[in-house]
Amino acid sequence: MSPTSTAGALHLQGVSHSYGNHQVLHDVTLTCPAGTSTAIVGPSGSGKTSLLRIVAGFLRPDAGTVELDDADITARPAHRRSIGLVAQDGGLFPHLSVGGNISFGLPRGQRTRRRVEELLDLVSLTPDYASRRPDQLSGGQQQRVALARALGRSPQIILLDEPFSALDAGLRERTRKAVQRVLRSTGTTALLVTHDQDEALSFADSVAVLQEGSLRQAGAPEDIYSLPADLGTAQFLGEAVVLESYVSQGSAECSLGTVPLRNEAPTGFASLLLRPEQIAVTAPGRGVLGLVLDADYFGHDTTALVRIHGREEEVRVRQLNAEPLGVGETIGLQVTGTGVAYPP
Amino acid sequence: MGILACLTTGIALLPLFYLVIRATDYPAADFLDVVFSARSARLASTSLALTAVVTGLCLVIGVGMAMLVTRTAIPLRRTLAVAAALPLAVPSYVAAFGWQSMNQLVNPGTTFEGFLAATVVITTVTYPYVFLPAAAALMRVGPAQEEAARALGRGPVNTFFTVTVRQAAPAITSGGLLCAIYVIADFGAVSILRLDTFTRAVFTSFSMGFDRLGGIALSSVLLVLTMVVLLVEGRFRRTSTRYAAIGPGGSGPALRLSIGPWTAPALTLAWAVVFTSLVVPGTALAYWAYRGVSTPGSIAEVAGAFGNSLWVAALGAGATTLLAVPLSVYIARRGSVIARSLERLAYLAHSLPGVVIGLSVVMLGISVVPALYQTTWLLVLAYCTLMLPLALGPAVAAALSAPPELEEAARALGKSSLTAYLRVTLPLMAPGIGSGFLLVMLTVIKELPATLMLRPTGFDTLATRLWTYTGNESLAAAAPFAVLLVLLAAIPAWLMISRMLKEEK
Repeated sequence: MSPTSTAGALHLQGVSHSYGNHQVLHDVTLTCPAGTSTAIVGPSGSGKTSLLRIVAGFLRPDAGTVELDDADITARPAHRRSIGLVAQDGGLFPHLSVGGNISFGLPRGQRTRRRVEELLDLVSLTPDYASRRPDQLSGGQQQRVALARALGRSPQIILLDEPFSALDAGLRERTRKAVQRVLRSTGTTALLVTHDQDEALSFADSVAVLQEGSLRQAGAPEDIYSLPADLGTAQFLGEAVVLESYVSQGSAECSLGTVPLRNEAPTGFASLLLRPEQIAVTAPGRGVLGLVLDADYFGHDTTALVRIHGREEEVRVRQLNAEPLGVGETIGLQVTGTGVAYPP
Repeated sequence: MGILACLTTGIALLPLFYLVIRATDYPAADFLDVVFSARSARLASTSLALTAVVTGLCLVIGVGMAMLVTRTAIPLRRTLAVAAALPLAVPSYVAAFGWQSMNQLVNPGTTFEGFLAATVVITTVTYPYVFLPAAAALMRVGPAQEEAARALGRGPVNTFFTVTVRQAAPAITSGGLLCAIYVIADFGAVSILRLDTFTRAVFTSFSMGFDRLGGIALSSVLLVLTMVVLLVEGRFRRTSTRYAAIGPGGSGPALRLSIGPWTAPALTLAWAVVFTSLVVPGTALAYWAYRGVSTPGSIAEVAGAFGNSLWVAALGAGATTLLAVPLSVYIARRGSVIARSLERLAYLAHSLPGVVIGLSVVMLGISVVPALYQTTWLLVLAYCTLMLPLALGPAVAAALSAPPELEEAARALGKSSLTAYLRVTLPLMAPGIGSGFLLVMLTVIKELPATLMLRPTGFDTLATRLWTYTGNESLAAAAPFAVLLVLLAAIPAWLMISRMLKEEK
């Protein structure tokens, strides 16, 4: 028996907010359908935490509305909203045991050992954790307890504020998977705030990119990654190769040859976006000639900075399972797949 | 290094061990006769009643003030915070003197002494020991936990009491127990206000014909009492530290309650406490000091005592620091059982009653090293015992900030281990050692009972002069010493307060 929540569709309409003269959010409109997870991703200072605090009810927006299941909750205080909150460092109460933390938010009738153990089980912790103190847990365990505590009330929506950023790489991955699994199994609407684009792309059903307080783009992770709204978004979401090009009839002419486009672009000069893994390294003689300026070996992949022969342009290439390239080596470069063109 | 650390701890704790050894000189029956005599019972009930009442009052005042200052939006919050912490700078016997001299102004011919007087006076100077940790703990409870509670469906008032206050509870309890220890150990105020407590009885046993058995037996009771409270206090302090280890997290302002119509009464009460603690003794001190310095010769006398105070304080602080530095490096670098035990041992002497250590050193001087009796060296030994924990805290923190890796780097650059220590570790530790030295020095200047018992004949410090003149009821002559003592004690108090204010930002 797992806690299942009812509905939980979130809609933000024209939300703006300023601290003094500094406007942190500009007219943000965003919809999170019930039962889905949405990641708000943006660099630090982009206003994503303010947005989360507005949804939680800790911050009153200057303008705009917050709707949960079509009810306007903009003015409703935090404790009367049906939300769950998992903060960056868990926000566990140090004066209560794990069990005490979990039952803290439960309705009076539900504060039983069984219910606590159920919730612990939901986040893959054994019942004996109930008697432990928060400072005896690892970072990942603290986050899972925080999640169990938040889920205990069967909230309509759960808010995750950089919940994995304090964990080291391996633990982050595992905790993220665990949280994702729990959220899917309970069908809880989730809103995740993160500065880590990989996390956003892998965690959520949809991703919203926030930059300088404005929502740049929102959609499915694969759509956002393959068709970013602008170059800034493209560069934020992953390593980008940007080349000068001339667009005509659905393809772009650039220093690496002719690349078919996946977006509509008017005939004329444009910036062409490729990803480093789209540029294949071949023997010299096939494709365009390039000179290796710098190479890095990461084990599972290698990257290299290559100057295109006879041009000023440099591109970064990434190969999986390849031998490291030698600096000063001459190689061939070929583009695979399609690119995206951004007219000036 | 371990041997050196053991040695310094041993020297510092010598008086404590000596007292225990001497206690075994007497047959258990004689010893127990004194401990369980009718006089002991009377002393115990007075001491305990005073401790209980003062601690209770301190908790109410300290916690109330801390809540007002940290969690409400009352006007002039920060001013109140500073003013409420200031009584920390008033040594209890100076406050007692201040109140007595005020009483002389208002009701000449009457006396101000006894249980009630001691309760008022000691409470006004001790409540900051609850107020400061309570305020710090309340500020430390970060918005993340309060927001978590709100998100879990608790309203602001409910959150305040189930999350915020609960987390400050160990710090508040620890502060209350510290108050209790100070009251138990207090000698100056109770003797000026003529209230018979354990400390006063120990001192009397020393000054009136030197009843050794009585002194040792009563000291032992006092020692056990203090240590029990200290042990309990340590537990709560560790809990409080553990709570702090789970970070406050999150951003945004701390939750402040709006107390609406209660603002005026709360403010009135709070400022009344501050007024009672500072303005009453302060005014009297200023008045009598003005009369005191106008008598001929008084300035030279004050200057002489001031010089003596500085001299013994510098000696005491120097010796204590010398003992604390090797010990602190050992504690910071080694996580071994020995290092931890040494640290615990050193803190054993934390806020032990000065009369007990004074008595022990007197006996040590008379029986073991008569050549040193009535010299400043024994006085310095007593200071080392009393002040080691005070110097050790900043020194350990300093040693932790000078990591061994840096010393190793210097070794790798071809320096000998001594050169590496002197040129890398010691300079890095210097500010911490310096602040520890200063703190000990200023605390030594305030120290009264051990100084009274151990000073060479004819050697007077600010504290002993004040005490003598108060005994003679020469208010005008005593006041300049009191004023100087308050000014000197204000320095460490101010440092503590400014650290608190910085933390709030």
